[in-house]
Amino acid sequence: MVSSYLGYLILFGFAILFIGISFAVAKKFPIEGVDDFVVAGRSIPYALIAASVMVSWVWTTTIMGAAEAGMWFGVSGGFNYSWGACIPFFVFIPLVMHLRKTMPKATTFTEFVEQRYGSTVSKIFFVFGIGVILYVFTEQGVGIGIAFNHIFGIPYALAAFLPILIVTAYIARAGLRGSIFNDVIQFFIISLVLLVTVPLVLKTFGIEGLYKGMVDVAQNPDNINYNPEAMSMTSAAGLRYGITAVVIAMGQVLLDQGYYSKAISTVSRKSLLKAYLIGTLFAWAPIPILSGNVFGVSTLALGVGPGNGIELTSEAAPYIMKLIYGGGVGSIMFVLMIFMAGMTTGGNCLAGAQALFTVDFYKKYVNRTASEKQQLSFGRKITVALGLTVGIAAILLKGVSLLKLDIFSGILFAAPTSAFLAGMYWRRTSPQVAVASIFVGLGAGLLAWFMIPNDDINWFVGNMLSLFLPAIVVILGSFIHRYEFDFDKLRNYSPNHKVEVSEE
Amino acid sequence: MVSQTFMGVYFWGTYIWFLAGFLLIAVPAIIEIKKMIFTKK
Repeated sequence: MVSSYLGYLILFGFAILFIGISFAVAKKFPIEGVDDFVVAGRSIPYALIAASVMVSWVWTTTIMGAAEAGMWFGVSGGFNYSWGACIPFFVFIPLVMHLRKTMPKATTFTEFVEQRYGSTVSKIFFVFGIGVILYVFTEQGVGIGIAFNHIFGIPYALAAFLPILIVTAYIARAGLRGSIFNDVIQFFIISLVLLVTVPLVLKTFGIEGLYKGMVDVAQNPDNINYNPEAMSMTSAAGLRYGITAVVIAMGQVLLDQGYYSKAISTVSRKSLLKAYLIGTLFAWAPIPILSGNVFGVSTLALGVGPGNGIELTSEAAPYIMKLIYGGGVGSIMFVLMIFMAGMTTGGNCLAGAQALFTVDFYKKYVNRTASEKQQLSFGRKITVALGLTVGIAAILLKGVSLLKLDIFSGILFAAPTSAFLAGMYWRRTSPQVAVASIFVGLGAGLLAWFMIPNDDINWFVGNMLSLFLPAIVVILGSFIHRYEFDFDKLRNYSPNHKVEVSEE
Repeated sequence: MVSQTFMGVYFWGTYIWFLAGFLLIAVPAIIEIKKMIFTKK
């Protein structure tokens, strides 16, 4: 175990750096109103958004989970993780571009839902949106807590709570702009660790050595990792894993206000498209493949597996890092990647929650006559309250399986996505059909999870029902129920705070 | 079963893919940040 003092040094060093940056950003770009606070005045250049989107979608599981997928499914593991988690962005990108075109002054997705389906449905989406954010942020805190506790021996509760406090401090201080600037620093740290580590691993083990090791895994029944499909890119189990990743990630992308805030903070729709395509397809998509191959496949090829070198398959990534760099440096580099990945994803969530509460909640439910100054003040306070809540939740979730939580979250958050998508593109879907689809999908998914006794399939059936059953309800319901929505009225929508948009 | 050549191209190709993505973001990001720091608002 590396000295705990070093762990504290990393925590406090980065706390000073990131909070310091947020103060500098707030000084250089004083916050002039709600729109400036939650979507950075819609003026951020594409490269900064691309970096921010990339690191926001790099979770602790993108590194550790994809490495584990490499161990479970061999050469197809990382690839299946990658396409599965990328597809929701190919739904999100055209959707948010469409939103900017049809409702130019929208800031949050719940504003759109309110105009499209009415305030009752909007409240349901608000609850789902906050739920996604709290869940994802908490999961990052747990991941960082485990990593710091494991490597440095820092008490779990402190290691999970402190990073959440750091993120809370810089988002509360400088809003979305502060978050994006910190994301760029974290983008460089994560990328540089990977850019140096990958060739080192490949040079050390050699493609020939890895290949021979993997052939043994696929053909030798005595190999502890024996898997006949380990060298197949079309492994059926791997494909199932990819499909499940699509369902789980769909709600996590479409209901996370953080991605909408970043998309809306770009200068133009063209800039949005460029930022999200580069951030996801070019920069993010290769990361899980690299993690799956360089960490997972290498561990397999070396003949290391549970009970032989590591205790759990989730230890593949730290195991290879220690092997390549030696215990101390390898552990520190690994923790840095996990720390940055967790903080950026958490920051994205918190910035999203801040936008939802500042724009949607305060003026509608707390103070109808509030000035923008009061909205900003509330936005800061609620950010701190949410950060503290997440910190406590992360402490309480010690020892809970993150993988199980992740799969369960797919059932909860996939159900509203069909109603949302239909509302965006199809005038015939009514509020009643939207609500029915959400609860039918959610009910069926939960029933499958709790009632199917076979633990090998209940999660898969539950996730599939939660995503696809609402789609069927929406399609059938929209044909049966006579309803027509006038999309033109979205164009004239104006929120309660000052918004300036350029003509596109 | 994939061949050794495929595996080499797959592993190194993904690395080059990531490097390209990194450069596509890093170069303009550095230019933008420099511009923001040294330009008066």
